[in-house]
Amino acid sequence: MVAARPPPPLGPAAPAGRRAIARIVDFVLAWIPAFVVMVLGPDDRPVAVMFLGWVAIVVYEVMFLTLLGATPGKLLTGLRVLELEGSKRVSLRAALARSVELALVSLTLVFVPAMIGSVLMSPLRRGFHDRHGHTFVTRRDGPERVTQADLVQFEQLFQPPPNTRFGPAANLDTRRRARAHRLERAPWLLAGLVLVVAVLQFGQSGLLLAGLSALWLVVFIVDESLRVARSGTTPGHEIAGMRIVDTRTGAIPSRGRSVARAAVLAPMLYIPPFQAVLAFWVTVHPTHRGPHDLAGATQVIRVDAVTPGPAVAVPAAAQRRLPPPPTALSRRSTG
Amino acid sequence: MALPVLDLLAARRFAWVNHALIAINVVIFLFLQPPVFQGGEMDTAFDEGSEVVESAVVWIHRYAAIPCEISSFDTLAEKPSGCDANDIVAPVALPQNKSILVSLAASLFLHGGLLHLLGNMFFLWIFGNNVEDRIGSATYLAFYLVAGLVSTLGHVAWDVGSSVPVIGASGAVSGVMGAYVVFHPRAKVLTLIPGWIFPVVYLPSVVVLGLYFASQFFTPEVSRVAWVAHVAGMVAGAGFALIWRSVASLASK
Repeated sequence: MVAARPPPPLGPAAPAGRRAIARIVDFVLAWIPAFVVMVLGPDDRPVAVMFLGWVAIVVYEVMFLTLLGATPGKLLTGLRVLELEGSKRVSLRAALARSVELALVSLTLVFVPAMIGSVLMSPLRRGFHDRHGHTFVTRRDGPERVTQADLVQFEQLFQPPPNTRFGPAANLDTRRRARAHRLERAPWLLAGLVLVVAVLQFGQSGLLLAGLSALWLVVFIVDESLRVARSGTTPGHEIAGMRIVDTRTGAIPSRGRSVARAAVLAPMLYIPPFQAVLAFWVTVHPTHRGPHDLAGATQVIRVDAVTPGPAVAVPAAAQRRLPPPPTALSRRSTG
Repeated sequence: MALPVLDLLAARRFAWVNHALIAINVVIFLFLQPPVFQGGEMDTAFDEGSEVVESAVVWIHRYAAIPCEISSFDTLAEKPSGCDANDIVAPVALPQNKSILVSLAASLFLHGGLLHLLGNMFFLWIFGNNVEDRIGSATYLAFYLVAGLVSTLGHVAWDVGSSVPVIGASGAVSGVMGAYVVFHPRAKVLTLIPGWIFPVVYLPSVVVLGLYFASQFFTPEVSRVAWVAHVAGMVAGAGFALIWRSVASLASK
């Protein structure tokens, strides 16, 4: 009798540990031709020598990907690379698009944390290079062919968003997309930012710039609060298929809660050291609530066609305080 | 400063000419320009006064566009009247038998340092593929070269007596950006704005490239950037795109 093996936690997506080992092996192997080329390169042209090393690493990656569908490191760890919507073999174009970024990371090392972060934060472990190359790293016994639509299914099957009482929670990946589109249909914010950039570019006064930046944050707080209190959403949230709800009622947050939320969000979103804290917090929180969500007692949920995962446990005492979930998303519906 | 990172406008086909232009610029900088350009900016290298640097200066005077040479059509070695003698690098021997026409074209493919090259090529990579996609590869190649030429002539018209060599693809790249903003004014460009606040947001291309255009008029004198070339290139590119768009719309009726 054979015991049934539990399904892998990431489905067909390659586990991060195996990918890390594969990358280390490839890093060492790719550096051998790169080192030879760099030693043989012209002494008086340091940038040209670096460039030749970069080309050697690109050639290493592209050659193995197009011929074998995997680099030696991936072969060793039982992984392979598939081109989305592609045939079994990775095309030259996809291999090149994927490899130019990887080679830059391997050569300079400066971007290694960003690359690792992009892989770990993606639900199916697709880093910048995978997205740029339109590729997906899978286990050798995984599917032969994968499409973009399959990825959506994999994510729902194997990495479903945590379910809350009001719908599936939006993760960092989705929320980051919303924030990147935040200035759409927001003319005041856009005009303010243009003013800040203009002072940054043309002005000499640091004090003026600091004042304008602070003023922009205030405008952001007002704009964000009004939008959230009015409709429970912003243009960015709409584009990314998300909505902000009150954690007590499931309705649109009140004006006070919206202001509290926006006041915490503004500095965390736009002042560099706090951005990392915000990203980490949203990633590790069970329902992806950041400090601003806690301040405003809000939850960001997905309203696109995503299937939630198992419900996140809520303490019994807290459950007693919660009213039944609303049927419609309006403040009036909750009384 | 608003730094474009990428745009959300996918090209329908591979931009062969744009990629080839990037490759040519990179190869020329890395393997054909004198090695001293890879050790840092030429400005700092001037002070060293070594033979290597002197030969690089002679080389750049041979292939760079020099406003007073273009306006008088005499090379600096022939001592044309109207040249600002203060700008001429002494005591370097000026190149003999220089072709001014060749230098007009060659200067578009030369760069003063690694950052100069990377900046220009990054902008070309972001915006060039969509312009090539719109007007076709052969037209794009001609457009790029003409935009570069117009930008250089714009700089010559602004600083007619200057004998300072002008190099770089930025004039031609500005032409590409001018065409892009006319063809795709609402295209979303992911933009990084470093400062006291640090947003990374999608902005319409008309905002990002409008800021770039406006910023040229505030270029500090000490930077030695030929900003008029950028303005001229961008105006030329936008003008070309407006005509192209009008003709295309007339032809489709």
